[in-house]
Amino acid sequence: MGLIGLAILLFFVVMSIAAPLLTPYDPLGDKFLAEGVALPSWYKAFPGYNDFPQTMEFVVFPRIGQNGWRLDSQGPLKLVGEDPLKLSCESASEKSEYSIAELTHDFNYQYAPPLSFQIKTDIRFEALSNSIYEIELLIVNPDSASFSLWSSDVSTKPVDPSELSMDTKGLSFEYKSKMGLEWYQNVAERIFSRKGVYTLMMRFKLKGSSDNPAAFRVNLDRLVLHIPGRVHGILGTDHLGSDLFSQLIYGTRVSLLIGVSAALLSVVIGLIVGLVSGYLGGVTDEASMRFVDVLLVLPGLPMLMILSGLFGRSIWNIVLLLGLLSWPGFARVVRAQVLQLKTATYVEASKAMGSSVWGIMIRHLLPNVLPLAYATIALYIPGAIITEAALSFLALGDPNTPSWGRIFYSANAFGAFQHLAWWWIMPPGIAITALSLSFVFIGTTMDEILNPKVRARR
Amino acid sequence: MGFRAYASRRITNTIIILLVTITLQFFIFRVMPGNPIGHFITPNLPLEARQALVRMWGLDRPLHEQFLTYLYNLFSGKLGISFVSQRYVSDEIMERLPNTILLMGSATILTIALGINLGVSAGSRRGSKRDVASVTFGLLTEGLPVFFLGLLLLLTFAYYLPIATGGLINFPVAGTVSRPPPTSLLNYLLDVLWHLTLPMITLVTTGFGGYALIVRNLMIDVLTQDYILTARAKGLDSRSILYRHGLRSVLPPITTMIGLSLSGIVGGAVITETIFSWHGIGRYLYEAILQSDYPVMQGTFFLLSLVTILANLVVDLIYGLMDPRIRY
Repeated sequence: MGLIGLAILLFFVVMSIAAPLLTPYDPLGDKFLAEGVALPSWYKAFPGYNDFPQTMEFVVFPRIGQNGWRLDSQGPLKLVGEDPLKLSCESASEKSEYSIAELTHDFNYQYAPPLSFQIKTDIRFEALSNSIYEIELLIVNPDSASFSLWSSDVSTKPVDPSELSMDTKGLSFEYKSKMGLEWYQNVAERIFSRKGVYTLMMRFKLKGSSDNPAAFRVNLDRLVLHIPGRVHGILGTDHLGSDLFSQLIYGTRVSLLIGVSAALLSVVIGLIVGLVSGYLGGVTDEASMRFVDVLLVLPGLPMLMILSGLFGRSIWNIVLLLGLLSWPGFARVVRAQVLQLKTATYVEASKAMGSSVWGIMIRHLLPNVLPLAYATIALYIPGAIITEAALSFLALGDPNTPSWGRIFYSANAFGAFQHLAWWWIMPPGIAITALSLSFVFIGTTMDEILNPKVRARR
Repeated sequence: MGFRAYASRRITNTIIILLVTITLQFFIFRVMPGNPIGHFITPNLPLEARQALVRMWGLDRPLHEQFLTYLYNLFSGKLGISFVSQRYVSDEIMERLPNTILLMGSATILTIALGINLGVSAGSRRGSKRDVASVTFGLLTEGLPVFFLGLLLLLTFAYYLPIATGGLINFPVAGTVSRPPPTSLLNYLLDVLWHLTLPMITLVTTGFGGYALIVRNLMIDVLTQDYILTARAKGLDSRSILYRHGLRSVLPPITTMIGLSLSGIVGGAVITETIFSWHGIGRYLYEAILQSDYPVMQGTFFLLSLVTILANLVVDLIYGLMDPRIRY
């Protein structure tokens, strides 16, 4: 049984050490890797999900004649540069009608409709005078229905380049009703409802007046179409689009670190209190045992919740609190053992030889109770791991640490239920259970080997 | 020393524990970083309003006076006034207390009954399939966190199952009773029971395996004793050997174990109430922590500790009644 425990523990230790190799993503820092609550990639193997898109980004550099870029120009708008693409119009005074240029790019979309998409372009205006212009961004679907995604107001001022980005998530109800959609319907789903060749189009319109010739020059460097995936990675994403698999992997580190250090701390405190109170006896003993009674009786988790709420939520605070609150049980065991040991003849002899109190405790008593400590550390770790996870689950843990409990928190608070996302809850749950069990196995086995007498008496 | 002397010793001890707890609580909330109002007040609150609040909660007075007010609040039974709802904390608590007692009480009783039952039957047939199964199960639940099981049950029975059965079988997603509550008493009780099922199963499942393990080990020790052999030789039926001779002699250690596990049950109940939105003390405490509602945190925590302390006293007294040797 101990070997099974060791094997499981080894698995998790390797996982925590090799975390950066196992996953390329930052567990919390990398957001928007895909759509929020994206399905795991292997869902694509099942019917009904096999055409779900991964995260896609079309970064296209407009080059006429390449990658399906075309320029249809009517009127005086002309191409003057290729890299970056430059459009120029020296004079648009002949007619008082719009002069139109359309820059188009075709791309193939063979997936299920996405839930959202974003478009960004780097666009710069130079030499703009006396012109009335309009820029429009459109997508034409395989049925040749065109959707205007964004259009500048008819304007005479240069557009701020940062304005030329759009996100289907932020579209107004007005916009949707113009497209014939209800307020709750999804624009991206509507636009990409078919599989086939789509056309991305930028339309420039320019107008001058006869007595006031317009001049216009625009540099277009880059156009990015970003479609967040509906499937991602091994375990999908959370509500912010962060990678759940990375959170699971990195969570191992947090759980191991907190579990081991908190258990170590409480066992050390328990050893000291048990030794001192057992050996010294009298008032010290009475006082510390009453304190132990209080700590044993008080409901531990509510107390931890309150304290971590008050002290601030950092990993080390939680380790400290866990350590400071969970030693009493072990202190009692140590004390009982010391009470027996202190009447042993070698302790009496040492006392008679004039050894100091501390000398006896460290040289004669400590080595005898130390075997108890080893097993207890292993047996305390699962409690610490589970309690930390419970605190994180209640959002009372360290908010900047990717712990397993945090995954439960986000699952519970941000839609694992609405999405029926069992893959959001099962993996960290199994991980916690397995890691805790490994320590239970190891601890029980160690206890049986190291302390056969104490164990048998219980 | 008779039972009376033993009982009075335990009661004195309990009172000491209570006093220490009360003092500890006072210091946790007053002396620890940030005064009770610090978290609650936004920085853009005008100074006068802040001072008024400080005066209102008595935070400008010396510590010992605050301590007296605190004691007065505790013993007058009002437990102060909530920052958030501006109502007496005791009133808020009384609304929720029956629900918590229902959940924790039923779960605790079921846990103990199932744990003892499984432990006895496993221990009496050592090495059998049932024994191996219950040991495995007991160990498994040792590592199974309450919140994991709770979320899993919620997902399975309140979300997947209604979809799978077309709404035929469904369990409530949240709450203690339906809204609006059923009018007839029978329907009301059934409705509460229906809401109680999942949280109770969560608590019982994570709890009874551990009991079963300990009871099993105790039973194995006892059943190898000579007097059991004697009883068997007398021709007593195995049921009476198991329960009247075997279980009876391990009841005292089981009682101790129950006493020690009470604080864990309270902790589990806090999490379960939060997951299933159970309108009880545990969830109230959690909400108070999130809103830094100090009087409520203090009041609910006091109540939860009072419950565990008193329950421990009861357990100790029962122990004294069952095992005469303890009344040294």
